[in-house]
Amino acid sequence: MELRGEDFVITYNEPSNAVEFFGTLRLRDSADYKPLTDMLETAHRNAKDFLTLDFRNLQFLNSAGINTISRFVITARTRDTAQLRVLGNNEISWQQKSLGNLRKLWAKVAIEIR
Amino acid sequence: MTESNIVLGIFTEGTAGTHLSDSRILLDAEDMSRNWRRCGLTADFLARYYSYYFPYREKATDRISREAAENTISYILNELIENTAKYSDAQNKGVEVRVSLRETDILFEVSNHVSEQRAESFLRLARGLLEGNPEELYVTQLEKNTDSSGLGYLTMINDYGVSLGFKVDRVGEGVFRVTVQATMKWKEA
Repeated sequence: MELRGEDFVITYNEPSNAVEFFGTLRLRDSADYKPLTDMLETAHRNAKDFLTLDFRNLQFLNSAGINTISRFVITARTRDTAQLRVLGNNEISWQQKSLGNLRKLWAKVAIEIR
Repeated sequence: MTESNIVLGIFTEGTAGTHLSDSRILLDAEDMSRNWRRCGLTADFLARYYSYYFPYREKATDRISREAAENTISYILNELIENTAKYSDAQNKGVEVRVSLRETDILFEVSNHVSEQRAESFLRLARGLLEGNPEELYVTQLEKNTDSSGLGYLTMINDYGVSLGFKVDRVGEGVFRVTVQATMKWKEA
């Protein structure tokens, strides 16, 4: 499964239980982010043990996108089935500064920023 | 709304003080709303433009690096510009974006025109942000499940060390000019 916009690609790799983000993701609001929310929730339902969110190739994410990812973390926390593993890139400012906030929403989120 | 001129938070009037560089761009909120990528394009342009003031990572000992400056400026400006594109009054679509590089900090400013109702909700939001604990607000806003416009401001405060200032002026019958300033230190004290 794949979501594609003019500046981004998001792929869901079901066999490896991973959602990977590429490019710049700056959509307008939660309505525009709905396909991503649906993809993340599907991926989480399909995952047994853990789901990986790989942001290492995502240059920018706006606050509406941070809201979307955060809301998904809360959904996953409520469901409490598969855990979340988040991969970040230390050389991309928003990841280095903001990805750690996901743990404030769910302490079980594993975050690896390199 | 009875008040006609309100200033909240850390707000610098005019172009007082010395600055190394001061730029302004005038835009149309409807253009940006029609093609949303224009918000990010404008932010990216100014971010790249101002990043040239900063040294590459290897030489950035007492200040932020060029790479970090470009990333950070783009994030902050994009958030500010997106808000103007989302919330401008249909009859007054002018948006002004200003960047002022000063001795130790960089000032980002956007202004646009909004309806009275929008001005009131904006002031409520601004007061909430300035009076509350931003770390706690961040979590409570997310737990609420809303399209909260405050999240962008909260990430600026919590994650980028930005100080915010807000100004609302009545400029006509039911029309208000809203100005937001975000100030970020770029040099270690």
